[in-house]
Amino acid sequence: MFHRSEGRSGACAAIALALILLACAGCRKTENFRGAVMPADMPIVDFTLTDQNNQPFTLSRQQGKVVLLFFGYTYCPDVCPMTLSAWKQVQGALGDDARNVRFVYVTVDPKRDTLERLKSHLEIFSDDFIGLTGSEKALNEVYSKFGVFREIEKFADSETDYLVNHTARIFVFDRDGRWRLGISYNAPVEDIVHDIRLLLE
Amino acid sequence: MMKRIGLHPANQKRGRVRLAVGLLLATGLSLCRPAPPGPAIRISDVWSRPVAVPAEAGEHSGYTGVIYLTIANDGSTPDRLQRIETAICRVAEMHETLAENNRMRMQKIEGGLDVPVRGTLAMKPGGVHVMLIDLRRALHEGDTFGATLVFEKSGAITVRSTVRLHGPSG
Repeated sequence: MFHRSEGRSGACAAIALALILLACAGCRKTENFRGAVMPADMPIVDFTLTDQNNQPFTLSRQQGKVVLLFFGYTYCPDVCPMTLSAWKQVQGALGDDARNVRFVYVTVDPKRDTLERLKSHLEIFSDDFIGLTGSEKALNEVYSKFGVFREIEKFADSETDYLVNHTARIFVFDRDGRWRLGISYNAPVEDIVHDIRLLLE
Repeated sequence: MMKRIGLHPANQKRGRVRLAVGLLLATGLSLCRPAPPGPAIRISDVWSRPVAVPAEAGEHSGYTGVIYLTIANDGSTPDRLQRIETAICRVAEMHETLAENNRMRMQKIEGGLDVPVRGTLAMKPGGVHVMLIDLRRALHEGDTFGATLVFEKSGAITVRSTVRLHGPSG
């Protein structure tokens, strides 16, 4: 009697465990991302801009790497450094796996963000971060491909020359160059790390 | 013959009463200490992000920085942060980042900021911050610099901001 009951509860536990494992395997592919998942049939988007070392950067050439793309400007004191600071923490948390991730910052202020300025600004955070600029035309094409909003605003009452209102979402591409996720600018570092790890698996 | 050393019994009693009253007062005061009259401002977590400013940048350097801090008011009267002065830049303004569907824009705060009674005013990334316009020098991690906060009632309070890559809370 005692033995039978023990055997039954053991079997129950085994079934429950199997069910949990099954459920996890089932949800893994679709629901595990913490960022907003893009539709599966997104066409491959590509562009070429110039990096802070005056070298061409082409998105489709980064295949095999997970790419994080952010639009910002070095004159922005609050949100853009906040993202770079988060990226620095993401890079640290990924350890060796960070080699398979590209952190890419595209300027929304090409007039003030010279190559030198992009370089000295990004170096504060990491030598591995890539800063991109280009002609107004080339940049506008990139903004429109990703639906990036960008608007220059002058303030009569402020001593600032002008500020740039812009989209602050992080665009994430998988190792095949597909645009997979949109992550909010204020997402916790562990959520970003979590999603990158899923894409690296 | 034994001589009593110590206080006369009457004085001893008076002493004990005084001690008891003193203890009661001390306990009472520590338990329900009334808020001091007027505002009582406490400033903490003062920090700034690093900024690369070249040596030859000049007065209108075009480089911007930020100060984040927390202001608490333990007093019984509200106060108002009117402005911030610092020699690190040409001008310091209070700004607020506003996010709408991941679109960011900034707005200058006019007329200062209230620090309510028993409340705090927190300046943190992605919200209200001090914007340092035209920095006079680079801010390197670990540097500190002074800034004076001018309050309507408490007057000028000088703090030091520490330059750090990440905020005190991560």
